[in-house]
Amino acid sequence: MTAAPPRLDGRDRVLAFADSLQAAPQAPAGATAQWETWVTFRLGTELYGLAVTSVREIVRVQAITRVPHAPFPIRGIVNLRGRVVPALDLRVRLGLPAAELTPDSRILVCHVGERTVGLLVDAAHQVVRVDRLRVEAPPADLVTDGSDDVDGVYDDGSTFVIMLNAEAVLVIPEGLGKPEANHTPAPAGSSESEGR
Amino acid sequence: MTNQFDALIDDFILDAEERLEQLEQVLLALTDAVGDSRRDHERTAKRELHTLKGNAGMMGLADLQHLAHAMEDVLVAADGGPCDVDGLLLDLDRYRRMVRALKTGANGAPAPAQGQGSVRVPFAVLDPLLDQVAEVVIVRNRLAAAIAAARYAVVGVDGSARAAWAEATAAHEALTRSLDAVQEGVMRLRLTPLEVVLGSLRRIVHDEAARAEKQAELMVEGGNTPLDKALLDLASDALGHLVRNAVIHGLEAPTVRLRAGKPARGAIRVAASVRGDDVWIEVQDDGAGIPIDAVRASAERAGIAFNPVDPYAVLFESGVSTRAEADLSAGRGVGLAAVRDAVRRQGGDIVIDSVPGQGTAFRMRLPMTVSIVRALVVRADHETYAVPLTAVAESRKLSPGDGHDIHHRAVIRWRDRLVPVVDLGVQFGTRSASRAAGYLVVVQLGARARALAADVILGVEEVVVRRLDPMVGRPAGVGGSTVLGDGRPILILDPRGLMELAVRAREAA
Repeated sequence: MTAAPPRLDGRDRVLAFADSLQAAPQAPAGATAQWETWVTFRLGTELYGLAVTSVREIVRVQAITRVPHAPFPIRGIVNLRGRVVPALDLRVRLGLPAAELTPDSRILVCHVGERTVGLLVDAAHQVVRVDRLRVEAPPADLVTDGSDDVDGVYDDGSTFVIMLNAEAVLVIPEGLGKPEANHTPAPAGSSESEGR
Repeated sequence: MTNQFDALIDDFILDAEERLEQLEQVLLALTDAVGDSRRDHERTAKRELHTLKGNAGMMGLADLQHLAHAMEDVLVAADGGPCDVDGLLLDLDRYRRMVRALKTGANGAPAPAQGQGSVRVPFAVLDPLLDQVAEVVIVRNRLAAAIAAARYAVVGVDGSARAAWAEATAAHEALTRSLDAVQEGVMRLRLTPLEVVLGSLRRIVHDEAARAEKQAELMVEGGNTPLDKALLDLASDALGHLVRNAVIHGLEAPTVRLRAGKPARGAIRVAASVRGDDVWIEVQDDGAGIPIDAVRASAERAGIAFNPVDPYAVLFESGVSTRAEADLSAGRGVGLAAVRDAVRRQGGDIVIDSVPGQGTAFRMRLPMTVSIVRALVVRADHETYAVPLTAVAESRKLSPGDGHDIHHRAVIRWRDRLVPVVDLGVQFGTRSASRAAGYLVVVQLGARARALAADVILGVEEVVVRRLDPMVGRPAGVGGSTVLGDGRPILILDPRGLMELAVRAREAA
C-alpha cells in the first residue's frame, strides 16, 4: 500500500476525505467502472472494508463498560456523544481471537437501519474508492456456510481488502464463541475504563 | 365527563382547522387545474370533507355534519366537470366560523387557554430538545463533580480562592434549580391525557362481548391522568390486552352470572391515578376470579415453580394458562408474559390479584415520565452501578460479622427481619465469594427486600436513563444504562429483577 495513511479520527475528516476522492475521479477503467467509497481497517494482519455509507464516524477507544452475561462478541457499552451503544469486538464476531486494545485501536461507529453499534477494530486504515465491478465473490471454501458477512474481495494490486456486509455483521449468530464463564473473578478493574 | 369532552372538542377544533386550511388550498388549486391533477384535487377535497363530516358526527355536531355533507354533494354532482368553487369556498368560511364558535363553549364561557394560542409540536422537534436537556443535566453533573473535587484544593488557602469556590458552588445550585424547572417543563410537554387510550377500550369490550355472547360494561375513571407520550402505545396495547382478557376469561356467561346472584351484565372497571411519579392503572372485573388450584395445576403443567405467597404471579410466565382450551381471541399463555415484559422494559410493573367468585384485578404501574431518575451510585470491584433511589430503603456500612448464613445464603437482620444479601460482584461476575466489608444498600419493593453489597457508595445523582441495545442481551437485574459526569457509561440496576434473581439463586441451592 501507499505511504502513511491519513489519520482518520472523526466523521468530518472521513467525509472530507471521501469528498476529495470523489472530486478527483480516477476512472482509468473506462466507461464500465462503478465507483464506491469504502472505509478500510485492519483486523490482525488483514484489511477489511465497510461501505462509507454505513460508517458514521471513527473514534478512539474510550471507556468500555462491561455488561454482565452479554453475548461473547459484545465487549460492553460505550458512550458516543451521549448515546450509549454496544461495542462489538469485530475480531471475535468474525471468529478471530479477541482484540488487544492498543493506541491504534479504533471504534467504527456504524449506523444500519435504526441501530447504532460501535465496531472495535485494530486500526483504521484509509478511505478508498473502489470499482464495484472489480470486487470478486469471496472464495466459497473460505466463507462459513450460509454466512452473509463477506460481500466480496477486492484486489487493489498490492493487497486484498475483504468487503464486509455491515447489516450481516451487526447480527450475532447463535452460539458464537463461548460466553464469559459466570463466576470467574475478573481481574481488578475489568471494565476497560481510562487509566487501564 | 365534562373534562374529557372538553379535551375531545379541543382536539376536534384543532383537527378541523387544519383540515379546513388544507381544503381551502385544494379548492383554490381546483379552479385552474385540468385532467389528472384536477381529479387528484377533487379526491383530496372529498376525502377531507368526508373526514370532517365523520368527526363532526362523532362529536354530535349535526350542523357541521350536514354542511360538510352538502359540500361533498356538490363535488360528487360535478363528477369531474366544472363546479361552483366559489360557492364551496363560501361554505368553507361558514364552516370555519362555526368551528370557531365552538371555542367559546355553549354557555358562553371562554375556552380553555389552549384554544387561544396552542401550537402543535411534532415529536420530531420535541425529542431532540429533550435530548439536549438530558445532555445539559449530564454536563451539570460534571460540573458538580468538579466543584466537589475542588473543595479539598481550597482547604486552608487564602480568601479569594475560597470565595471563588463558594461562588462556583452557589452558581451551581442556582443552575440546578433552573435546570430542574426546565427539565420538568420539557417533560410535561410530552404528557398526554390517558383518555386518548381509554376511548379505544370501549370498542374492544363491545366487540369481544358480542363475540363471546357475554354482556359487559366498561367503566373508566381518571381519563385525565397524564402519561408520557412515549408510554401511550405501551399503555394502549397492555390495556387492550387486559380488557380483552377480562371479557373473555374474567366474566362469566349471563346465565352463569344470574345463577351466582350477580347481574347478567359484567362490569369491567379501568381506573387510572397518579401516585407520586407513577401512574397506576387498574383493570378490574367482577367475574369468576381464578381458582388457586387451577393456577397451581397449570404452573405444574408448564413446569414452573408455584409460589404460594404470590400464587398468581405464575400467570405472567410464558406458557401458563388456566384455560384448558385455546380460543380465537387470545394467544394462549403468551400474552400476559409479553405484557409484563413490555411494561417492565419501561420501568413499570404489573401484578395480578384475584378473589374466586368475585373477580380479578390487574394493577399496572408505569412511570409518568420516562428518562430521568435519581439514583444511588455505588462501586463494586471497580465497576460502577446506579441503584434507583425510589427502591432504596437504607444504606449502611457492612462490617465483618454483620451477616448470618442461613441455608448457605448470606442474610442480614434489617428492621427486625432477615434480608438476603446480594453481592453485586458475585452477581455480575467480578468475584466468586461475597465481600465481608464495604457497604450495604437495602432495596425494598413491597414486602420484598434485598441488601446489595458493594465496596463504596459514591453518592446520589440524577441519571438519564438510556435504553440498552437488545444486542447486549438482557442481563437479569439490569434495567438500563446511563452516562456519568466523566462520560463513562454505567449500568442502572433493576431492583425488581435483582430480587427475582436472588430468589432463584436460593432455590437453585
